[in-house]
Amino acid sequence: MRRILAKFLVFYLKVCAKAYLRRNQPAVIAVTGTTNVYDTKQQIVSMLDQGYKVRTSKKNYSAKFGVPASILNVRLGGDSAVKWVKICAQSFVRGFFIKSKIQILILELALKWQTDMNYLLSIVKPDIAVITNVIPSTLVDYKSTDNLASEYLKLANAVPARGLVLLNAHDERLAKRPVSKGTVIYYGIEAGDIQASDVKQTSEGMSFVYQGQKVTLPRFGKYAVLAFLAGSQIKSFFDKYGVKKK
Amino acid sequence: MAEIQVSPIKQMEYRASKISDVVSLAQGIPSFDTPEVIKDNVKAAMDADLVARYSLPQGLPELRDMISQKLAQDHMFYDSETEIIVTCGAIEALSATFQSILNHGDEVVLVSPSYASYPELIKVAGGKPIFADLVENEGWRLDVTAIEKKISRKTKALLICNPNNPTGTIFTKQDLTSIAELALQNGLFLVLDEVYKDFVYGEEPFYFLAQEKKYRQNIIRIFSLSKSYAMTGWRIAYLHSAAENIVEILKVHDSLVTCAPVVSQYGAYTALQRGDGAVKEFTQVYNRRRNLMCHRLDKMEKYLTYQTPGASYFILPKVLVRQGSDSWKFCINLLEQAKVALVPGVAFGPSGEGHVRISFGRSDDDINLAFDRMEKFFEYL
Repeated sequence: MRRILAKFLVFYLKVCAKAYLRRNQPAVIAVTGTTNVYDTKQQIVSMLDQGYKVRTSKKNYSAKFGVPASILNVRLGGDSAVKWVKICAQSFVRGFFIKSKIQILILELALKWQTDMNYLLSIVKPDIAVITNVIPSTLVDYKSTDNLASEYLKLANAVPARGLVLLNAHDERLAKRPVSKGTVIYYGIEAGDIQASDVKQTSEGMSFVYQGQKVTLPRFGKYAVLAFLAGSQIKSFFDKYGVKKK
Repeated sequence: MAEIQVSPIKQMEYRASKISDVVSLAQGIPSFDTPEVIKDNVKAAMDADLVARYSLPQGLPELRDMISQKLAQDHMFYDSETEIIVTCGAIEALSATFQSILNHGDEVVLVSPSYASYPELIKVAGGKPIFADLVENEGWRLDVTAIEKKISRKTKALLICNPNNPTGTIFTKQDLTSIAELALQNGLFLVLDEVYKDFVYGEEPFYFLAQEKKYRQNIIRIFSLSKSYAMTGWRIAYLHSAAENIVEILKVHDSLVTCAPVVSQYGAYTALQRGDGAVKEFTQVYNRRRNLMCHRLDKMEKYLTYQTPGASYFILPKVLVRQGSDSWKFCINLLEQAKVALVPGVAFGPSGEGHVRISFGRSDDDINLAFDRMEKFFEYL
């Protein structure tokens, strides 16, 4: 019974989320990868929310329930039947009736099972895709890391011609340029199409040079730098082309 | 190795296990089971054949990523790739830490009373534990001067359990900063064990010293999922520090255990992702039990006096009757005559003598039964 209910709710949220996207047509940024997805997403949010009306996933909402919930801006109900009834009502109203002012949706897509990416892409058509990395993992049901990389690249391939694909330049499994119609850009530390150079870790965080400017971040590790590069590129993209309706 | 002893807490639990109808408020085991959401996700992972292989020694990348996110929520910024290790419980984290930073004869200054296994862990790594007393009549507060006086040429590290086991004290930001300054000025490691940071009962938010970037090179911070998520049997914890410290600790961790059990890493991932509700619920229950225990202790003021714990699920009352001056003997008598297992205060360092540690991690019924029995025991003394 519980499984049937869960299946129904997944389907119901999907229908409402698709209705929301069709009616409101926000630009969609989808971030995926094995790690650093949340931080990259947060970095993108922090760069875009100054000039645009953005919404992002709540908490780590990133799978079959989480992605539509993020699109509809509802909080998942756990084991509470009352909460789920409320969520269903909210989702219906938001999906089919209320006009949203959100211009850009920034979503986190997590893969665990082999069918996950196809399912998530049946809900969202990303305008911008970011793949943070592909790391060998036992947390996901993929037979090999190369298979996992192929799944991530499905996201890149779903981006339309006017869209943007950002790939980690340091990841060998992402090095083979995807067949995406969108503009493909590799980002990295002294590697790729857009680069950070002179990267140093100090007691205060990371410092580096990007497009001739010295940047300091109050975070540590190379992924903090990579997240900044992805965020900067997306900000430049929207600043240049605007948030176009489909 | 002759100097190394089995923890008095476990010795007491072992003795208690042989006595029928015993009530144990000794070992810090939560009365709760692991939340269903954690178990369900682990079962699904097992059914999908995902848990049988080793992970990287430092742990599953996604788990470390999740840990990094959780740390960032508390303003502690650590790189998931190079600054975090998932370990087999806090004990292994501490053991790997001490074995990597200590040479034979090095000293570690720790407070007394503090967790019973610390001295043994230090000795196993060839080090020498040096105790600095907490100030009991001021709520077991840190005595920075006392700690400073214990620092010698041989001192390599300071070890602080915050909130402190067995006193339940939350050390103040000011005192912790003073300790960190001592570590910085003397080039010492500051090992922070914060496994009880979620069970805090006051309004004031818990202060994390590891958020101060100034002390990143000195601080090695440890957190276990055992208590917060009722996962003591899963043996899962993590530590984080600056990358150069992690490189050294990782060598020892790898040689000791290869990696933390992958099945438990799955549990930890789900706990950190979806376990906040359970932690909140546990904290409310422990707070209620703390109040119950204080109420019961108030009724025994002729025999026991205590400082109210601000956190954790332990209380360390002082035994006012003559027989309590030898806490080990006292606890054995209490166990044999009243069938109540407590931990002798001497297990937690010299200043713990004359006290007993009581856990309110157990159920209300256990607490009430134990106190009923203790009241009778004291009357017949």
